[in-house]
Amino acid sequence: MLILCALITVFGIGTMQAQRAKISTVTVTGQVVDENGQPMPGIVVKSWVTQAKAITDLQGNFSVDVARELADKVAVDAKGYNTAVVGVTPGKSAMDPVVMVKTKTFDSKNLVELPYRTFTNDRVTSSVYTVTGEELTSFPSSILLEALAGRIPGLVINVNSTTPGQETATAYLRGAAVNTYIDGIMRDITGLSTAEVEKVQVIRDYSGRGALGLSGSGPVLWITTKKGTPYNKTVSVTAEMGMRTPTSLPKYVDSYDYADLLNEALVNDGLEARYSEADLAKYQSHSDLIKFPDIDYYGSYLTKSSPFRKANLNFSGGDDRVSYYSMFDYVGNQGLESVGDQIKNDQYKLRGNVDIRLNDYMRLGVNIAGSYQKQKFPNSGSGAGVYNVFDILSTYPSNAHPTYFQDKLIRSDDYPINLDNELLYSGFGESTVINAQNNAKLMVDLNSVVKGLTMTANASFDVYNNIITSKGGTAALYRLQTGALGTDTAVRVVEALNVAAMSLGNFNVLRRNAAYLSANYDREFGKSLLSVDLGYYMALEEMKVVADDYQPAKMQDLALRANYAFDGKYIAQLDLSYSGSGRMPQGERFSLYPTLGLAWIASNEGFLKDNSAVDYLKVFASAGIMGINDYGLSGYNPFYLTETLWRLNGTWRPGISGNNGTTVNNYNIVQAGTTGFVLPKKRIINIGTQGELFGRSISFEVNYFNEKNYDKISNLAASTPTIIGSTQFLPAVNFGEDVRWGIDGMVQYSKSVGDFNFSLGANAMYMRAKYLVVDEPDALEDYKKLAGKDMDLFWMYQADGLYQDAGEITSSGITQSWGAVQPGDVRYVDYNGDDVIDEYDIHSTGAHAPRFFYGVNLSAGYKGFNLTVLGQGVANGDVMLSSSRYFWVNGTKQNYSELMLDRFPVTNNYPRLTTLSLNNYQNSTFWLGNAAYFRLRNVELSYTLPAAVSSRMAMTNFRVFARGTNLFVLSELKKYSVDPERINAGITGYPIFKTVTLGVSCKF
Amino acid sequence: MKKILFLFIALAFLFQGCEEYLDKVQESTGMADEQVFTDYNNFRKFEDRMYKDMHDYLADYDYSFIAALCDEGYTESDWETMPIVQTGNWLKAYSTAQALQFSAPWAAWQSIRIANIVLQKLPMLEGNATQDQMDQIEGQALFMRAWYYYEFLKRQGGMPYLEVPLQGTDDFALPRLSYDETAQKIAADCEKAADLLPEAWDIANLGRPTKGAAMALKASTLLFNASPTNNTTNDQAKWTQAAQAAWDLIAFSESTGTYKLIPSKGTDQVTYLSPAGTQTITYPSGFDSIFMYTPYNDEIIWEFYGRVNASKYSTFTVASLSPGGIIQGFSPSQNIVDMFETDNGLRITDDSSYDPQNPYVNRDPRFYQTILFNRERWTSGTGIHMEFFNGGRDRASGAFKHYSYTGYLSRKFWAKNVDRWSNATPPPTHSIYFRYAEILLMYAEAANEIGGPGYTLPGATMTSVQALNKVRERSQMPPVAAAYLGSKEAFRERIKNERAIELYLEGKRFFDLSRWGDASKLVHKEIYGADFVADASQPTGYTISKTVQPVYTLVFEPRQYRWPIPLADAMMFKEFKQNPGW
Repeated sequence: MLILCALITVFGIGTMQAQRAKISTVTVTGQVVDENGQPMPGIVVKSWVTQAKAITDLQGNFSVDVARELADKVAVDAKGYNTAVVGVTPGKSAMDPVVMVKTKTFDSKNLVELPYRTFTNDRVTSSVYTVTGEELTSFPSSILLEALAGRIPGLVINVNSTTPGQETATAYLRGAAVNTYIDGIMRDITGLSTAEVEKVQVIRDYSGRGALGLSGSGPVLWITTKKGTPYNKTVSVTAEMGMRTPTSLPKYVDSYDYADLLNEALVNDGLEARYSEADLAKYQSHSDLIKFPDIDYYGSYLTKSSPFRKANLNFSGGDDRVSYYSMFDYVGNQGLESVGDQIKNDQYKLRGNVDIRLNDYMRLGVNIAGSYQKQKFPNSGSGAGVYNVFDILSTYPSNAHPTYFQDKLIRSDDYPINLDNELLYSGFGESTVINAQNNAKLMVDLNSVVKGLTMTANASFDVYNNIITSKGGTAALYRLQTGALGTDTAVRVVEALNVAAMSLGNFNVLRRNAAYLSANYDREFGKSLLSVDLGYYMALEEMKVVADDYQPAKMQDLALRANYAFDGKYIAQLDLSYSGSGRMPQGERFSLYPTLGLAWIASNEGFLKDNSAVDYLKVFASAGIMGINDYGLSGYNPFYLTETLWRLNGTWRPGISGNNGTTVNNYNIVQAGTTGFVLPKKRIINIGTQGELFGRSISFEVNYFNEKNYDKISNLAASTPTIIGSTQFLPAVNFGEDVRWGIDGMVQYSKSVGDFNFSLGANAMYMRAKYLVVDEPDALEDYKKLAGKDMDLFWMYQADGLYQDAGEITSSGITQSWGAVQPGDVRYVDYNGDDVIDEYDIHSTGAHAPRFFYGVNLSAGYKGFNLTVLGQGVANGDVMLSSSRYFWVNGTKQNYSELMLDRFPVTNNYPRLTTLSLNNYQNSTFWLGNAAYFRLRNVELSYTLPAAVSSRMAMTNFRVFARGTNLFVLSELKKYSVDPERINAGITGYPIFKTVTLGVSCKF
Repeated sequence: MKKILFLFIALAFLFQGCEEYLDKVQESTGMADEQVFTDYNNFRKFEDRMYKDMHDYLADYDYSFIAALCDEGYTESDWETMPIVQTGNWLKAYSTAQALQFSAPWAAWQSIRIANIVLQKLPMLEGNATQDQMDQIEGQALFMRAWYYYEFLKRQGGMPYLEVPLQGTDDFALPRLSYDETAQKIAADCEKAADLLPEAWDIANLGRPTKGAAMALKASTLLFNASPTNNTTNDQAKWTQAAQAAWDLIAFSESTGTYKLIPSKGTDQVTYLSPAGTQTITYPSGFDSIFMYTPYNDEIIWEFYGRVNASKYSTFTVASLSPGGIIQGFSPSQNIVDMFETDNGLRITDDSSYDPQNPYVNRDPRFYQTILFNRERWTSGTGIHMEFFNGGRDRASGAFKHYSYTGYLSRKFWAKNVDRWSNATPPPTHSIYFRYAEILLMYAEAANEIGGPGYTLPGATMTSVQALNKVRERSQMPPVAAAYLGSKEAFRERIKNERAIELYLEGKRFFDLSRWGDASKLVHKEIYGADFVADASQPTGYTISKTVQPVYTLVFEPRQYRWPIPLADAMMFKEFKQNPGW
């Protein structure tokens, strides 16, 4: 990597100097100022033709060599400001001041990209929030979504898997899963690198995304990739390397404690203890580690940390006719296995974005991106997949069996896996993912035909391929057996199996074609501005896998948007989407969905215009309705709701065929056809305000949202008795309503004092969701009904501590229906008062999932030093500890976590141990934990060399940085040694990582 | 602006024309009603779907789970099902995914619907099938509807009797019929089915219900209906109805020769280790061939021969004998072992020649065919002898599951010389729903309830005790001793005993104990095993005693005679009542 960097540097410098030599130059002077006219010192100014560079002095003044005869331009780039490119008038020796505009504010002239059009902020009636790609690069991760956590009000990122190369995250905005659009096309975000992202916008309401039609029914992450800035040639290289360590790993007891705890559990159950005093002594003394092993599984099979590497190289530039951006990106990470080969993951990404002016009327944009990901991993025993060591690490007690006896791999009947065998002799798998996203876009200026009319045509072709090959195998496995004379022998129970060849595990191809056509019309009539957009979008997504076939998903949407602004103060926008769904019967496929948006730029009113406190203030509201095309009704084939489906379904075996009957396939209705239904719908109301105050030092936005889902598709299975036969016989109808409402917002304060500048901000969302109309039986008692209740409630028993003694049990007079209870068992509240604890006592106890989500950020700079800090958290909610077997230890084949040392009667923290009773392992308030946490998500500390110094090294910018993610977390759950973000991390799968990297970035 | 609007409207119209773009691309494998119901083969493929639900809950291993809910034995299962159902928390069992014995029969409502759709759509087949074919389809649908109602009857009791498929707009709030009303509806369906169904099927269709199956189902239903739990007033008419239904089938069988008891042929032997050396016991062979080797044999009235029986190996064996894959180790109870008479035809407590320290000799031949005992050789292909003695390899202790808890294993469904050590192919075994011996026992039971052991139903040619003795005779057991024929009550106890050992592990006893009202008695709730303490002076080399404590004590309250209705259904309509106590 370093060699590559060096080569590029040499190449870059070489070409620049070669060009410079041929051109006759002249020196011009100028000044760089900010929006308030304040001079900006230490800024690099570059000439396009001559490639000469200059640095502004304390007064912001510069003098730079430009081409004498050609129309040269200078480009000015400053962190936190939009790049400015200014033409130089030949023959003039002094330029007009270059005014730099800050990025990421709600300034009226800031650009908001919406489907089919880019608006200035003062025309937008929707709530759209923007994060620049620049901000995201400080997060060292192999997936982009992870970097968004805590940065956008209302956006919650759930990282589902952290297995290297298999990282997945899901983004939810205001509780709904988001769709990602990249350069105007709905696309998979997998493989997108933070470096290539220009900006990420969240479009929250239908005034912003109604034009997308049905595909915009869910929240949209609207991502644009970088483009070259004309007359600003940039080459930049970034490389970082670091280590990742688990944020937490569970703690399990050693074999002595395990044996002791299991004995206690058995005795509690009235059974014989499994280990004698002599056995326990041997576990303690470690005198016979073959028969009395004590394996620290986590310590033996995991390394403390694994490396992380990331590098990025990009070229951009161009002129009026052609501008280009190209990038090469690499991310590599590794697993934690310390035996055998670790999981290895390498991802490569290449992008080329070119913008060509074909003639005065036409421009062509071509975006080509390809990614290649290669993984190698220990193979899972069944099927092709990554071997999940954590599953064994967390379930095998320290005394399960020795790993080796006389060089033979040992397993036992109860614990049949030997991890050395799995990691060393059981083969491996390889996965290759190849992903290409291509699109071409033609923009035609039709001003000469119809004044103010432009048209855009865009076509995209994406492919996504994944192929997994693997091979299995095993070494011979032995069981330890003690012979008559007390000597140990190893008896072979599994024969060695060598697999010579790789076999195909999984292979799939996905193609996604999309095309859109838009006509954009813009006119100004006096104080009125009118913009009308007409868009047509069609898309096809087709998946091919080896074993099955998929119905392609298709979209066809027509949208009309009319945006009218009067006097720079009053804005009204109407969106009409005429959108089709292939899931509706022919003739009923298309429906019209309207959205109305209004905005008022209060700061342009006379009474605020000259107010020094208010720089910008906008109040906006929108209400819209959209259909939902992707209604998941379990058991139904969502494409053919209209058809009664008869299919092969089950077999039976009459007759005689060998030792069996003859298999005969059966037909059955798998879905009852239905007519007279409409697409389910969602109605979103958003009311918000945003602005900038006190000399643009404070920016803020607050939104109230209310989203109602109605006309949901249901087959009323829950309110239909079983006697009907089966839910598959029930036709679907429109039934069901729920509502989600809340508030989200952000505030940011920025300030500069001399060389010191800082910015401090916070964003938050509070959200509630409620069932309004639910498919549930009428006869259900009120406390069992969902309607009118919050959707995030946990339904369970109310626990009332642990029974302390036999007296309490008898005096309670209540039967708990999981067998006889003992002191140390959880006591439940008899909610319905029938003296029996059973299903009727399950109710909503008020506990619920988190409802408050927030992020805080801090950025501070002093001279070349810069610190950015991002924190993220959730609050006001609970987590069910019972969802982790770390807390819920029952049965005889489970490992005991160290938490179990605190069981009854030692403390009242956990119930008595048992191998039989189910009493304690019911979802109840006993197992509730506080889900709140605050996590230091991301920190970057950097130092940028003064421009004067870096320019001597032929660079416009040279920066070294240290970055970290997940450095610490505050949470009540920490005391359990689990990660509050995902309590099963490190137990059922890979842990969450803390990453620390060091890196360098240079620009030429 | 106008231009734009016009363009929009024009495009919208254009869309109506090109909305074919949204048509489906890949044809589904779905078929239309017409294709299914006007074609004989397709029609049958739909109808046959109604057999599947039954197979989902009546596989071989399910019988052992049902067995472990009564005194037939004990199982320690890896599945969470058994602890739940054994502790009587049957309501919970419905929401436990693995408790198929509970949730799967309830799911059979879908097969009732299929049967009703079949009956409703049958006219569509007219012209495309012969009258015989139509009759066969109708007969099977009526039979299977009756069968599933019979399964509900045995478990939850009376149900609304649906004879047409309910539509989404129908009133679902149907009241439950009484037990008797439901039983009579089942009997009526069986009568109609018996008229339509063939006496036997050709080879390819073996396994479908026959006329005899319909008659057996009717007899069994009516026997349940007459039994004490469901006939609290001891209405004699119900017993007469039951006896008549059983006799009808016996008479039909005797006149046509359709069903026979498989006779004993030749001898078989078991060997076991004792201080005096290897002992051999010879006994009449043949009983085992009802269950293995020959499917659809003369004794079987209705069975399922579709199940690959490898699962039986992991069900009835123990971990020490079959490494890996053990679902449970089923342990027959001492309660059952003690019910096997001596070969003099006497209860062990009544036979002075019986030595409790030498209990394996001179027993009912079915003992050797049913029970694997301590030190018995484990299949002839290996030198392995069972170690059920205390501390033995095959005996459960402490938390070691999947070993014998009682000192016995089941041999009933084990073919000779087959086990996982020898890697031999599992033999054909099958799940039997009705066999001829049970019909004889049904007649014996009902006739005894009417007039005692010597009673002959008018029109019949057999007394109660004669019918029972036929079953004993097949196993070369002497007739019931005169000492047991003194009263209806004394003989009733022997009928119960005969059913227990003849039909052991065939999924019958649990329901028998329920209908007799016996299951909630302590004697049937406490499941005992035997202790074997080494003592070379004893004939077997062990001092044998019944375990001091029960191996397991089932929770069985009177409410358990009627299984709970799953909560979701019980809470849906007031008319559809939950059973008392749940």
